[in-house]
Amino acid sequence: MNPTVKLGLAGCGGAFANDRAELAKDPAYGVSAVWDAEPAAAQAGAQAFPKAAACSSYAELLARADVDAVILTADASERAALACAALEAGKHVLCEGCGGRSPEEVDRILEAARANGKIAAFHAARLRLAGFTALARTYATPERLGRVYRVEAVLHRPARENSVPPEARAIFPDAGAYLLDQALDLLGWPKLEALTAQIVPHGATGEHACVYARLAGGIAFTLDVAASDRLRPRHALTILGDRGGLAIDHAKGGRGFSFIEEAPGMRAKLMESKPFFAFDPWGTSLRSFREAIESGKATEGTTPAQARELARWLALARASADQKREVRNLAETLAAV
Amino acid sequence: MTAPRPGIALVGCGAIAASAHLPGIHPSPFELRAVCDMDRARVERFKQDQKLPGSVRVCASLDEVLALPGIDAVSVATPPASHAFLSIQALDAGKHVLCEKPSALSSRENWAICAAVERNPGRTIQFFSSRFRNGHARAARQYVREGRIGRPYRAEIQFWLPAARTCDRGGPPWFGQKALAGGGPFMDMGQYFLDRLFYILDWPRWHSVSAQAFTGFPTGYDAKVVYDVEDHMSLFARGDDGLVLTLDTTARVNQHWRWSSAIHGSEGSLVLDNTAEKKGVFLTDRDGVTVEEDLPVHEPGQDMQVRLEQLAAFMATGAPFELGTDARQALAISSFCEAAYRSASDGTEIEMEDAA
Ligand SMILES: NC(=O)c1ccc[n+]([C@@H]2O[C@H](COP(=O)([O-])OP(=O)(O)OC[C@H]3O[C@@H](n4cnc5c(N)ncnc54)[C@H](O)[C@@H]3O)[C@@H](O)[C@H]2O)c1
Repeated sequence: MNPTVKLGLAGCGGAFANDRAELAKDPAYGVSAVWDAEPAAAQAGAQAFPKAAACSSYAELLARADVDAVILTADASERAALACAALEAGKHVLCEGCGGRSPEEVDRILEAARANGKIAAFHAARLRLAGFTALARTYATPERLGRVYRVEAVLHRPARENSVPPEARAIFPDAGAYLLDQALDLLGWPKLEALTAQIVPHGATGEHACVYARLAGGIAFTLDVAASDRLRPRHALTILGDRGGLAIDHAKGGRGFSFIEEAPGMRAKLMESKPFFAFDPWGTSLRSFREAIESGKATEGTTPAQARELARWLALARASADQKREVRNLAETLAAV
Repeated sequence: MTAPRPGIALVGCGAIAASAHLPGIHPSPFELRAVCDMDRARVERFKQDQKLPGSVRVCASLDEVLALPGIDAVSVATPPASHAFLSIQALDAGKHVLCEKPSALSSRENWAICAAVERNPGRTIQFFSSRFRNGHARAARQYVREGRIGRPYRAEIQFWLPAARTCDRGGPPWFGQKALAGGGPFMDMGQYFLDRLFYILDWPRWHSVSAQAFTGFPTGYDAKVVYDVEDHMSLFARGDDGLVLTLDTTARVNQHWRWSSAIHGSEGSLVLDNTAEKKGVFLTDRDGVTVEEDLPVHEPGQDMQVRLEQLAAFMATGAPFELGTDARQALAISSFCEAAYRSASDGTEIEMEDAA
């Protein structure tokens, strides 16, 4: 079968490594070309796909007629510019994470997509689309959770797995965006009212970021992401309500999924518990991207409005960390600099 | 002839007096000379139930206690609302004071306690801490001092108990009343954790705090019984040199328990986790591989008997001791908590005044 979507891949770092296997599996996609700012990485990346050419520049990749769409996993700092260039060259774009580091960057991508009649899709839904999130969703209802008041999303992974180049320190924009997307989606995207944050470099290639936010409806929200060899690995999402509380804990040795409910006598009773299970990181996103290219509308994954909201979180967190204070309004915060 | 033992009075004859104060006094260098409770029937029953010797006097007020001869120290085990005035009165009467936590209801009260210590030289007040629980705090403090964790940038406190509010366990309702308890689990247990963390970090200064509190779980009380303390507190505070503290304290949560503190530095982390098999560890990396080391345990213990032995040594020789929270430290903790509660009620970040 001939592939229906011919792809150019831009960026051969950590995200690329995760996605490669999924792309190789999906017969609807064919990879025609691969580019990375590091020529050696591009060469190595191209070898993963039998028919792919390694490009020596991004312009070369965009100039190719056998590239209909670009999957962009390059550095977060460059993603918006690269996405716009691809859209202007008449390619559809699937951006890793939320595409930009600020809502303005996401707006620029969306504007370029509109102007050129192409699809810009965002892949921040890596965790949201996973099986355990689907299980959590069956519990993340007002009936089961009651009033939600506390949410905590934590990912501490070893820096040696943080394959982005040190200057990118991408743990926060990327992994942070996945965790946020998963949590906010389960909560129905409550409005962010204010946040305060710390982002510190950690070791040679790591970073540790902590965001503490006030969400509409009185929800206190913590996002804590780190790439560090000096922390114990952790990966968990916890949502607490006054009727029930759920946790997805998928660190090695973690508890897996648990839902605990109010029980008579004001006790907390374990209602469901499932050990860790693996997840399909990319398949749904790729399918959804293809549907969008074919029909003009994506059905699953991060919507443009959600990508913009994630980018707002990231930009506010960065501003709060720089200014060392709680911030509410991005425009005002940036004007205060 | 041996010198007479120093005398102590126990003020407040409730749960903790029976379970922790009394058992520690008996084997200590102190002789229990008086028990006191504002509820006279209760203190009489206490004397009987605890089979105290006839020589132990029964009092219904601190005034009565202070009028007795041979009282060198007072152990305060009343609800927090009376800690400040009882402590100050005892200090001004020339007594040493051991007082339960939380130290007081407000930083204003803590200032008054500091002033009472200052105007009564040679007298000491120590608030109960659980700094040395599991015995790792001194080693952790040493690791920080020696720079083994590098520059500390983040501390975490997690105290979650699923159903441990006093009202869930049939305890006295004052625990749920802000006017008497000062606050919920954040005041009650949070202060223990803050004390230990601040001790390990050598009393860092805090500049601002963002906090949120939730109250809303059923209490099982009659509607007429006031219950106005928080069930869950969370916060993010900024201190000296970019240090950030995040905290969660709750005694009512629909999730598994947590009981841990951690300090992350540029070179390594310290994790004190009561729920883990290894309760105190130091983590760092060598050549990109995480290595964990057990923290050494070398502490004298934490109970009332040790406190009293140290107090006796202090009275005899002036030897400094660090088993409890002193008045200045209590002020720092109390100011921190006050700012957090204000942030939670105002819904915004609160800048902290320098309590020092
Ligand atoms: N119960 C615990 O597990 C526990 C543990 C550690 C610390 N504490 C602390 O110990 C203190 C007492 O707690 P508790 O659980 O024993 O309370 P409780 O209610 O059982 O006992 C307090 C006693 O103090 C008496 N009292 C109140 N005001 C008084 C006054 N002005 N003068 C004399 N007596 C007075 C009361 O009549 C009561 O008998 C609190 O600060 C608490 O935070 C309690």
